[in-house]
Amino acid sequence: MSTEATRARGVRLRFFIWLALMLAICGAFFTDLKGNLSTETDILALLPGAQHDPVVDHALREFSDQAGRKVLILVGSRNAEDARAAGATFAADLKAGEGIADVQYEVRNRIGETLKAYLAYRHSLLSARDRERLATNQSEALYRDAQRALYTPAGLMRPATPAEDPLGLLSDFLMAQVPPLGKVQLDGGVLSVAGEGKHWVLVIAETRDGPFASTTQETVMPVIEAATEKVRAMGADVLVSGLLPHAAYAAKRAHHEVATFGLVSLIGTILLLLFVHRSMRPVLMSAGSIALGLMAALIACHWIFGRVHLLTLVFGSSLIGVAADYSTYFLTDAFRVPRRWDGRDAVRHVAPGVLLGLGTALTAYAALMAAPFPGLRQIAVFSAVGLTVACGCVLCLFPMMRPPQAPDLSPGIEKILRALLPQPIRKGGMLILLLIVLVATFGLMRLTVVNDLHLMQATPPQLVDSERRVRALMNNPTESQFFLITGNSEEEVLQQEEAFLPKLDALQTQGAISSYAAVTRALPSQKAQAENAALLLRTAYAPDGLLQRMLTELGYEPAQVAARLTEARAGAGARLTAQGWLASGASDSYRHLWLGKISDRYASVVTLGGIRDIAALRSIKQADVRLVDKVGDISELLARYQRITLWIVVLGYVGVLLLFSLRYGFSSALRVVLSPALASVGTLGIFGLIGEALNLFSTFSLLLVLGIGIDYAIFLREGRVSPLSSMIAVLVCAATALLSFGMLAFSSTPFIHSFGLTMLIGITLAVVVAQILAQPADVVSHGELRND
Amino acid sequence: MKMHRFTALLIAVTFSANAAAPVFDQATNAEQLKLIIAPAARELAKTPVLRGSFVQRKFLSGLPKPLKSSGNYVISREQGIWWHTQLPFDSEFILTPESMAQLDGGKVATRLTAAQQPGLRVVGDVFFSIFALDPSALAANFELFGQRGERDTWTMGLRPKSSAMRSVMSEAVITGASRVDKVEMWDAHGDRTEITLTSKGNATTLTAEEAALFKK
Repeated sequence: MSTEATRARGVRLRFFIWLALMLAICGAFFTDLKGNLSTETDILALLPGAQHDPVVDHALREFSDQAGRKVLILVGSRNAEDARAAGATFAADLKAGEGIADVQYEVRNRIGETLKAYLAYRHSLLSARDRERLATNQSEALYRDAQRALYTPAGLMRPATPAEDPLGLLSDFLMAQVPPLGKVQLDGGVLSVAGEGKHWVLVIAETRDGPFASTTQETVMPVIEAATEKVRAMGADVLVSGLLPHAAYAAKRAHHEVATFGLVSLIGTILLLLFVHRSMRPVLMSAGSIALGLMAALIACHWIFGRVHLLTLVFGSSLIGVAADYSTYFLTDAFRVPRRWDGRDAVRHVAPGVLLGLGTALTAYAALMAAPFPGLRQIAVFSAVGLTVACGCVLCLFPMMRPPQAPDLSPGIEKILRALLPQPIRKGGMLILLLIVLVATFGLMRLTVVNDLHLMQATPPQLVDSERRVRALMNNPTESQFFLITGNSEEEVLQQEEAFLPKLDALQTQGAISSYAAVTRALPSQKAQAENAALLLRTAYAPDGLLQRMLTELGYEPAQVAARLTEARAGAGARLTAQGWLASGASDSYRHLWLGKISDRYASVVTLGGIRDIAALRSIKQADVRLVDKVGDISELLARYQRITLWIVVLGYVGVLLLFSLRYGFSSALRVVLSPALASVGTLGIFGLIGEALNLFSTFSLLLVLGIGIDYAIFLREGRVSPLSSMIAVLVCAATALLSFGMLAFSSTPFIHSFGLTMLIGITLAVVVAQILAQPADVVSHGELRND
Repeated sequence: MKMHRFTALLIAVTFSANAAAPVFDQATNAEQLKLIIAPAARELAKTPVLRGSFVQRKFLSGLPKPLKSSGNYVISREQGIWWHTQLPFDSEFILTPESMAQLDGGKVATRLTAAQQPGLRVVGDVFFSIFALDPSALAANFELFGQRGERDTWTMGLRPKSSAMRSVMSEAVITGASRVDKVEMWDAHGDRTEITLTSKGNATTLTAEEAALFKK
């Protein structure tokens, strides 16, 4: 009697403590979080940095951030005038739009500023070609070039006037900076390209914020879409390329899916619970525990990570399914003793199974936490916190909430349920197991593994098509493969780059790449400038050198010639610094390649155009210079984590088998472990047969098949004393899991689809195998059943 | 893609005021210009190939005497420009829609493709506009000015609309009668180039030798 009283006191105490905790969570949620919660939609933020060096990772992010803000738009028409008119309209609309920092349509003439910025330093700046000519005694060729500029139309192409730049050295230096634009031409002041039987003009928009910022997606995309509509009405064609449309589409999709799947899953679960319990109260209790779990999970993610990734929410919406399991295990316990059930008493029966399940789940999440994978880590925190809180609600709050008695089972359903009760394995069961083994054997042989970036993002065909056409039309440099140069000082980075470029020049000559852009073209290192100045003083600026000859040819008086020569020799001491360059208009075209100070290091980027031989690029070995291949790196990264995850799955099985052997003995433990194991290999087999490739995310969900599937086996085994209520619990759990995780199979984002499909097949097989392998109810339970 | 601003680097610079020729008081449009230059336009319409000799004088600011050169030219609206400087030294300048080549003594000294230099087109546009005198093409690229002189003579003033073209020249004045006789171009530095042309018979097609020039 006194133990009864103690127990009742304990139940009450736990109720009030947990209630206080939950009120605190609600308080925190509504004060600290609501309106404050920022969601992250950048898919790549889920992945760990591909490089081992944090400085490099940071530098890469910086560069990608910049590049990601650009949207390229090609406006095309049958004739050039119409294209130009449509392009001007498009550009004007973008300029008037919100969220856009800069629109480039008509090429702005910045040559004046550029010349001004370089003029004082012209005696220490040389193009590579001129440097070579001066150093190797080919100064006559250089002189002839300068003469041609004076007497032939070639002079039209020189930016500096012969009076300021008699030998054309500054002009050559500036012209060597003009980056190749592929097929793009400057036509009537507008960048144009011909292709597909049309004239296209290029409009470049730069958004104020990054492409993943929801403000950018919500303000800029409508502007682009409206401008596109308008210009199409004028009869022009529009192609849009850039990260923004992809990011906006993916985010819209994900939001849509969170809403749809969350809703379907919620409604399905409610209907199911209503059907099982014939009462609203269990539905409200379940919903309450899940809501509290989600709130706590959001708070935890917000506090730990600062923001919540949209994909965490997608996975989180499926968490509803697992959290619902705990209420289900509790509430279906009512079927154990119909009409005489007391919620306060149920904890004793339910807690061991539920806590064992939660323990397994938390262990699995702990393993995920250990993986250096920011995305998985956040999902793990979200799930672990959500499940723990939901579980606490079930075990502490439910008993005091007067859960309803079990309704009477209709005879039909009871007949079915009894037929499903554990029995010695029969022929039908054997046949199913054999079939699974066969499918697994044949399917596994055909299973393919694909891990690449395309998994990460859903892209509609028209966007892909637009992107492909822009690429084909413009042949523009890629921003996903480039070289990163780092150093301990600005000067060191510049010198490293200058030492590196000759190797790249060699590859360009071989045809491995068609072009590249490097910041040292516009900002030579102090060392290179000093060398240039010394070379000029030794050659062209020497008495009787080229400069003197040219000044004389130009018609200057001997006294003027002498004065100019002295001035040039004195000017050779001036050095262009990075600060001076950055502050001037001259840096405009190359500034994006200069990353500057990144924590305690400095970095620059060399972009590549027309890559034909990536292996040759990889073969370049130089300290502090590395080839970054974002697409390749990410694919490699995904593959690496897939291997790790696969090992975690295998280790998980071994661990669980050992653990359960201690409790059940080896052969019974094997039976328990065999149901998720067979379900998993069966799933892989089906994947092989239907041609669905395995990837990191399907491997990841195999871990959940283990965690959830083993629950079913445990529950059927632990609940042998009341096989009927256990069977109801397991079936309801599996149904809710399928309603939530299974839904994800219909996602248009490839990796969520992979995840969902694995869960759909895996959970189904896990229930089937668990039912077949469950050991028959013993005499005790039969006795209890008869009592009904 | 920031780089495209750069194409402007190709060439020289922003607007600088020079002593404007009187023709710039007479703004006009393509239709009126057609009437003004009618004598030359009639002739040019029949002859897509122009050939002749030239004398070029370049007046650099701050220099006492102009730099003088002379030679022959062939301009084909379809093929491009072949500009053969003979004095003070032999040099060919060949501009086609795809590339620019400079030859010294018949040997290629430099070659640039349009893919390497997106601004080549601008230089080409300037040339063709001036020599081919197509009023609608001119109107697309320039603000137009013009006046009739005595008998069949006329003067035309051009100011580029795009800043890219302004960096090649800020203003041009063309005078002629039944053909273009003189072209004066000012650039942003205040340097002036004056080209006097003597026609040696325009034609409808290139001769085989001339066609071969553009393949060099």
